[in-house]
Amino acid sequence: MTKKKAATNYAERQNLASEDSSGDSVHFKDFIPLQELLKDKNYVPSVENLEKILYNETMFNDQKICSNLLLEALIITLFTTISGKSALRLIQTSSLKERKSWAQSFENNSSSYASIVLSWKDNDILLLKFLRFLLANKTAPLQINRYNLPEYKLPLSFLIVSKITIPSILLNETYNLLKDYLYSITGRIESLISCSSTFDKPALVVRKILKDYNRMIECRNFYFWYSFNAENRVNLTFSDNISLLMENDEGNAGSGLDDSRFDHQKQPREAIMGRTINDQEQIYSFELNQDGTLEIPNVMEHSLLRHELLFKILNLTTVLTPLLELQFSTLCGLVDPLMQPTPNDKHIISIDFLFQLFLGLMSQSIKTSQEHNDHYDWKFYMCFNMQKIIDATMLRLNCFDFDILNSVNNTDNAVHWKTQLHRWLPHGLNTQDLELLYMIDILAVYTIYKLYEKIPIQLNPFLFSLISLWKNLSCVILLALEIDRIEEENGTYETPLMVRATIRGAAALRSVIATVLNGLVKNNDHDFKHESLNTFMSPYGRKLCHGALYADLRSHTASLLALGASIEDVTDLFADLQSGDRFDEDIRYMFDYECEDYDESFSESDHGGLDESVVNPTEKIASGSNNVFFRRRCNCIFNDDKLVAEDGANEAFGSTNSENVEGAMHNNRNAVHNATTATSDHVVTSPNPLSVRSRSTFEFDYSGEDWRDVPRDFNMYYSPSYSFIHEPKLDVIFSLTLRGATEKLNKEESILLVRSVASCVRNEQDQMILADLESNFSASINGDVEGEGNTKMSKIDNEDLRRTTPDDIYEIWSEESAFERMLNVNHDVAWRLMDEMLMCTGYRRILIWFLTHLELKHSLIYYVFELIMGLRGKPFSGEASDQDKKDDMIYEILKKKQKNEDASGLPFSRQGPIVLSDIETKMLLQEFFMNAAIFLSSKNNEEENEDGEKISLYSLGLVRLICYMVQTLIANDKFFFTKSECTFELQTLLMTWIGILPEAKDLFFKIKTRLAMEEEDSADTMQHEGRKNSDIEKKLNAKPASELNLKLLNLFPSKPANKDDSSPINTLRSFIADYSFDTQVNPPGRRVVFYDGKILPLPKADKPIPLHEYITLAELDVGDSE
Amino acid sequence: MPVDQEKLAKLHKLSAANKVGGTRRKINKKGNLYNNNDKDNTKLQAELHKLHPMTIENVAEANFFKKNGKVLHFNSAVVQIAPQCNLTMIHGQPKENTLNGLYPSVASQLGSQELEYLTGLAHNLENEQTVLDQLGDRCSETKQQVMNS
Repeated sequence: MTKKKAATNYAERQNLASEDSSGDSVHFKDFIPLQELLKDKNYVPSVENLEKILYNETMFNDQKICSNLLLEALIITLFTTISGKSALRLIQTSSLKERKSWAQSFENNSSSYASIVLSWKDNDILLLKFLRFLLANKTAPLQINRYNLPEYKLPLSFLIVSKITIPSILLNETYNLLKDYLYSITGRIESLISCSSTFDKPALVVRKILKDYNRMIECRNFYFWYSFNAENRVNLTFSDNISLLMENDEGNAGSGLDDSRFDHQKQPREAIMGRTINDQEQIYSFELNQDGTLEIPNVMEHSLLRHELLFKILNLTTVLTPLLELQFSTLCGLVDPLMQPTPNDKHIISIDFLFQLFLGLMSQSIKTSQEHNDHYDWKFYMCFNMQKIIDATMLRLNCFDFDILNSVNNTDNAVHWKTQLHRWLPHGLNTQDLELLYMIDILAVYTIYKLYEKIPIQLNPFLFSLISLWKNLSCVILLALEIDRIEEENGTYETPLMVRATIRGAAALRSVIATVLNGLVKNNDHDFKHESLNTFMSPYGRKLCHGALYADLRSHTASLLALGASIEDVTDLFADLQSGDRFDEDIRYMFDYECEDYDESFSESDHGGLDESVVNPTEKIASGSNNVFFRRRCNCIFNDDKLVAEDGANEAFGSTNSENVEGAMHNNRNAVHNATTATSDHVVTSPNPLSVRSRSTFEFDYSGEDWRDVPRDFNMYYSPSYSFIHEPKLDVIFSLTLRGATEKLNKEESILLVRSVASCVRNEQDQMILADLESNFSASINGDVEGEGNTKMSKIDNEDLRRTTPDDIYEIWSEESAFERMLNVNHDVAWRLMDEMLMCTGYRRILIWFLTHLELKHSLIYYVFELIMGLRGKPFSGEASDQDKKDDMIYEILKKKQKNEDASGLPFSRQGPIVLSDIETKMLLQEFFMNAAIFLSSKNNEEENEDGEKISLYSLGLVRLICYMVQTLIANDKFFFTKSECTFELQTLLMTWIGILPEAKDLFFKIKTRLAMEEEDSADTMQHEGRKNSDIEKKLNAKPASELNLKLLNLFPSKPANKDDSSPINTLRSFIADYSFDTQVNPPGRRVVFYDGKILPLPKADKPIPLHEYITLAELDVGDSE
Repeated sequence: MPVDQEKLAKLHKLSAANKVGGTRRKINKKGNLYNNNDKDNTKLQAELHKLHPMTIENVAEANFFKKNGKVLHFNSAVVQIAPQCNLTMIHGQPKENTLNGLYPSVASQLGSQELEYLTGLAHNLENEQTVLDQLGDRCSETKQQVMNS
């Protein structure tokens, strides 16, 4: 019975709706999303943007925009907001009878109000305004029955067009404006959003709109806001369908409504959505006790207590310095990780930011003090208090007396280091307090610098104590590092936690002081402004700050003397002060576990939900590693940041070779990524070293170093006279290589093998170029079908070409050291094969590593020599350039080579000599020297054991040859002492042979003297340049520099009568006379290529989850479990 | 009639101590600003009770941060929430305080607006100092010029 009634009601409603609607199906048919319509305004679908558009009434004039806007706004407002829900409830719960009688009451009425109500029905502009009203109240339910009261009706006065009638209608409490309006537009709304099945156009449009605005969850939620009954079941058709739309496309195809299924779903969902969603709400999680109670420790109170105790422990007295306690508590509050302000999208809790907050918080007290004392130098008092705090903390940290610290000797075997700890480690502090004290000191030092930023650091009133502090900290770090080294040597790894914590804190503080003393704060702005203090505390968090001193300390000494320090104090201060130490490297090594990618998987998922286009391009650069220390919230670029290749060449390479590469990776054991990572251990531990082909897409770093692993110059081009094999056979290469390892190959076989390998390499290069071209080509045509055709074609080609690849060849070489054995029998062929393989993209560094890890032989030394000299491959001509002619030896070699090549018939397949990049040359020499040194020392040891002789003649010959090689390289300007990074390795190699071989001795001392000479030269030139610059600056801007210098000179202690001119004071006096305070220090290591002050928003993982997202995830979970 | 001066002086002393109506004394009236609000409270409470709010107890403090750096600070507030009406009520005796005054305990509650307010204070302080320094420099320069002339 009820069903019948419902059916008739439905039919009537449909009629009513169709009466009201004026061709609404057109709306759906012609629906164009606003995103497309308002492309020029960059409209992004969101509730906020929709609201903005609704306020822009000029939009309503455009019919096209107006109709589409109406549809989008209607669906979003009615189905996904709480106010919309209230309106919809009224529409749904009103019976047809009610509505009919309501309509009749107005039809028969001739009042002005009745005419207004009747005019609402077809007015879309008013409907848009009404939707705007609903959207403005999106989080609040509407109390419809109260809209007869004037104060409720007032915001709806836009519904009354005639201004004269507004007061009377608003004041008349018999008119319920909202109810009347809703009744009048019910038909219109229903006709707009009705859809008969889940697959017709309107339903799809609704779904698309909801998806675009990311309001699915709110819409689903809406479904469960209703309790259905038989009476208005018919009315549910559209909402039923809409709820179905939200389900998966395939899951609900054709399925009807099943009440039991909905009941089942309702339970978990209702649990999640027992409440309405507010856009601004976020989720915080707490752990509840077993009984459901919640206990949150009052962290603030605890921390405050802790700070008070620390103040007492430090014995800071407030008697003479009234602001000291306030200053200390403010500092504590700012640096304590438990109390400090939380980072937000606009701010990083960096040292500089904390300094600003500190000043802001102190400003009121400073002003009060200024009011009481006209000559109150707040900057000095502030810094003076800071100095007091630093002194007190250092005393507590047992890092105050340099003499005591200096007298500790950890390396003394007679006294165990554990018995010495009490002399330099703090007592009665836990590691958290220790770190807190160091953090306080960091901010204190930064404040001292910042408040006197405008004058050079040499004139800072607290310079003396800063240098003294740096010295003490260096001493403490040295002691702690010694312990760690001893423990590592013993293999016990029992460095006490307190020692580690001390190093961590002291290193951070030392780096701040060193940066201040070096005058590099501006250069290292990234560390002070873009790294949080907590990150800064870690050796890996500091990207630019060094702990070592690089500044010319003579200026500091002179300033101290001029400003009144006694010569004895200054001498004591600068005694035992060592510049340019490398503690930072040791500290990094000690804390390398902090840099591990423990959160890799976690951070990977962070970007999962993000559209790739949204991810900042700089994030891509910075995300070389996902570690928290490498994640940066700025656009700064360092010189060692990797540039990611933009072109498709490498992608093509990756796609065509991925299978092979994976296979190779699976088989291979050792991985070498660049020149520096390969260490000497490999040669000893792995007789058959293998490395993995690089798939890196990175080509240049920001300092312009060329890291491309590709053939260079003319090597890219094939020799026109070379006859390649179209389809080189793997089995031929395989059998010939293996045979070549054991017996001499005849001429034909040698040629066939070399040609096959050269053809393989060529095929791969062709394939990569083609793939690149193809990707560009297919991207340029839009037709999918044609594209498919092309790829199919190329697939067939690729399969043919893929038969033999350089990976296969490398695998054969590595197998049973075939290549190494081949060198003994067919060394000409083997080296030519190496030449050919060096032409293979992505293999060059591996091959360099491979060949430098072979057993040291005369032919290997010769090959390395030839490679560096550019004599491999096809040197342009024997007579060549004039420069070559000058060197008779080279000319002879070239001539000989030409002859040999003609005789052996093994020409090079490419054009020109083999060219190595700077990095490749460096790597080749460095690895070669290193492994030669290891090989020779191990060989010597073996022979010593067997025969009792100390030196083998064979080794002597090898070393002699290496010496000749290096001499020739030096003579031909192929080996630079200062630029080269392999001088150290070469010296290590020569060291053991100085007393045996005169050539080694000569070379060793030649290198030594040249190094010393070049260092002096560079220092001289730098000084000269510095002087030049300062002269120019003086000329240009003579006043400020000379003023400071003059002031200091005037303040300098007067010349003692009985001392001659060579006294240190006089030297310093003459030094400071023409010292430029703008002199810049160039520390080694990372540099900033580009600095940008902009702070990027917090990464998603560091923010609380918005409620909307949480529910979306919960919904997905529920969906999965179902 | 001769006047006994001693007696007169005694009488003067007594009268000074015994003024009619006693000596006048200023009474510090403690004006309770919130008394008026208390009167309405019951009605408000009754109205709010109809919303069936959920009470959260043991809230140590509640702070409303204003744009001018002031903070409306509720110590041990009672918080009631009526989520269905999107309504949150905080009961208590608020005191207006400054960010600086409340600092360490409210540190973790500071949002970007408050932090910017504090950094703004720091900038003002530094700017004022630079202006003062410049004025000082000018003064010393003119003094030197006067001395030289």
